[in-house]
Amino acid sequence: MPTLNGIALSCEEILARWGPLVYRMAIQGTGAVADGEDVAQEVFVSLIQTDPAFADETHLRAWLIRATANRCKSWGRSPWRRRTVPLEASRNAAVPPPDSSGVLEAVAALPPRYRWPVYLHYIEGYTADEIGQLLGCPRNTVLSRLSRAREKLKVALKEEWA
Amino acid sequence: MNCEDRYRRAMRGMAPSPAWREATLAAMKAAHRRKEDHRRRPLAVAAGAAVLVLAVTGGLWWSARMESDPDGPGVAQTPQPVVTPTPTSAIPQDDPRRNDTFSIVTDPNQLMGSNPTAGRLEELTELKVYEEPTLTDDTLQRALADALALEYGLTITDYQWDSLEDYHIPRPPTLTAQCADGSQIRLDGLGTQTILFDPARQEEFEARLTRKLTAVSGAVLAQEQLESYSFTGELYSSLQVCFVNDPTQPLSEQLYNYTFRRFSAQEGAVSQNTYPSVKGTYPLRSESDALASFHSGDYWGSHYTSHPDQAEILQVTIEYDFSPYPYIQPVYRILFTQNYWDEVIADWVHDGVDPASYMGVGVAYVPAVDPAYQNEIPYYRLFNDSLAHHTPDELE
Repeated sequence: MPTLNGIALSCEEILARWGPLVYRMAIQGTGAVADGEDVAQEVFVSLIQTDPAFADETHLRAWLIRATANRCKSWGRSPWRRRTVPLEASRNAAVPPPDSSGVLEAVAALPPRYRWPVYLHYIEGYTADEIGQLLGCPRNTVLSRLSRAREKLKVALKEEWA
Repeated sequence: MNCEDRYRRAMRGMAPSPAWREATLAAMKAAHRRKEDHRRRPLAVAAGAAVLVLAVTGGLWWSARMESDPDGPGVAQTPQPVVTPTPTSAIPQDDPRRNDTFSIVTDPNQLMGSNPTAGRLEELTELKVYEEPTLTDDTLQRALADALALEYGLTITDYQWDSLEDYHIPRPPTLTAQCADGSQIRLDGLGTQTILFDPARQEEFEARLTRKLTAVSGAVLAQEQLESYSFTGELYSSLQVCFVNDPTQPLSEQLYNYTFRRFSAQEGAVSQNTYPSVKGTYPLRSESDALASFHSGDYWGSHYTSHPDQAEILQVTIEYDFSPYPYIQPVYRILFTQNYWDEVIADWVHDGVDPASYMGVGVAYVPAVDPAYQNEIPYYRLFNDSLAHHTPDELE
């Protein structure tokens, strides 16, 4: 089992502590609840299969975030997704997300390089420095992507994004 | 409420459902059990010493593919867990062994399958060769696609036919039928039919195919599962095959069932074969003759070894190969390993992945029909649209 500070984590504990993070991120990344649920499940199974040892929680969260981003990306490239496209099309498959008056869809429609900084900053509360470390790019790049994302969201939603 | 607040509220309002938690917990525990099982297996322990058992394809090509990140930094890289160090390979950079390509498994059984000929090859001295019909237009393929669409409740909206007559290697014409719901029916000649569909309908498609196979009175199905892993330590491919299995029949009949009375399934795709006409019955070369050909460096397949003479043979079976159009013919499938692939794997696995959990295995193919008949029914095998033939010349 994966370990944190040398202590083995149980499946239950992993899911209880980091389930919501991966779940939300996967839905944001795929743009649909049903797809996001599949991706999130794959991430946790992958965590068990890979069996890593984490020095601290920061590393564990970083692993999960990057694994989820990777999976979302692969998901979008699978033959089925490529052929049928609309990510929203499978939305009817499971529990619908809370009403957001289009804002979720607008963020989901952003290219990954803009979407993930928005998600990590506004939902997970990471700073630009931290996002840079997670995504492997400089702080200034993160800031410019956030700025560009806000512009795109402003156009898409026809209202200001602070 | 501004859009930023709405975004936070909506996202934070998303919580995993109890059903998802339950299913995910079960999947995690199953993965843990599988991992524990592998750890307990003697072969996995031996992996530390003689290690590497099975053979494989395209491992290097594969890893190169997975390291690319066209969408920007950070996103496509494998997560970087921290502690497990990546061992350093003892194989020098310019060593030919670094050109080997193979698959990675945690247990050789993952690529052994359930071929009925395993361990019984001496019973087979001759086998039938089958022939696909020559198609000059798309009439028959359209009719078959229409029948499949009807069977699976699909509505075809468009057909694309490619005769492939100018292709540099003989290949059957392909028909691709697009369906209204995004599904796709693909026919390679009439012999192989593949349907791509929404993975949400996986169970439905597999159930239909199962019913079709078991519609024959007394038919009992067997399964095989083929799996391999990537250098990230994750499952790379998984193929499930169901076939009619009757151990009371002669071995040649069992092989026929294994080849034609079957379907294979991956996520979002199923494939089945039709029953072709018989070209004739041909004598087979012996297993030892096929192995000698492989050891000399004369074999087919996407896996490559720079030292075939040193390969450790894990399993030899006979299966039918659909590549050599129009003659579907028997071929020896040789599963092998090399004792240096553990070092190659250790050099290629991503940070945080324990290479000792994995083994390299390769698959080599050698035509089974007596070479004296090769002019009459030439054998070839394709990989990435090219002839996948290895010859002793490559070793010099």
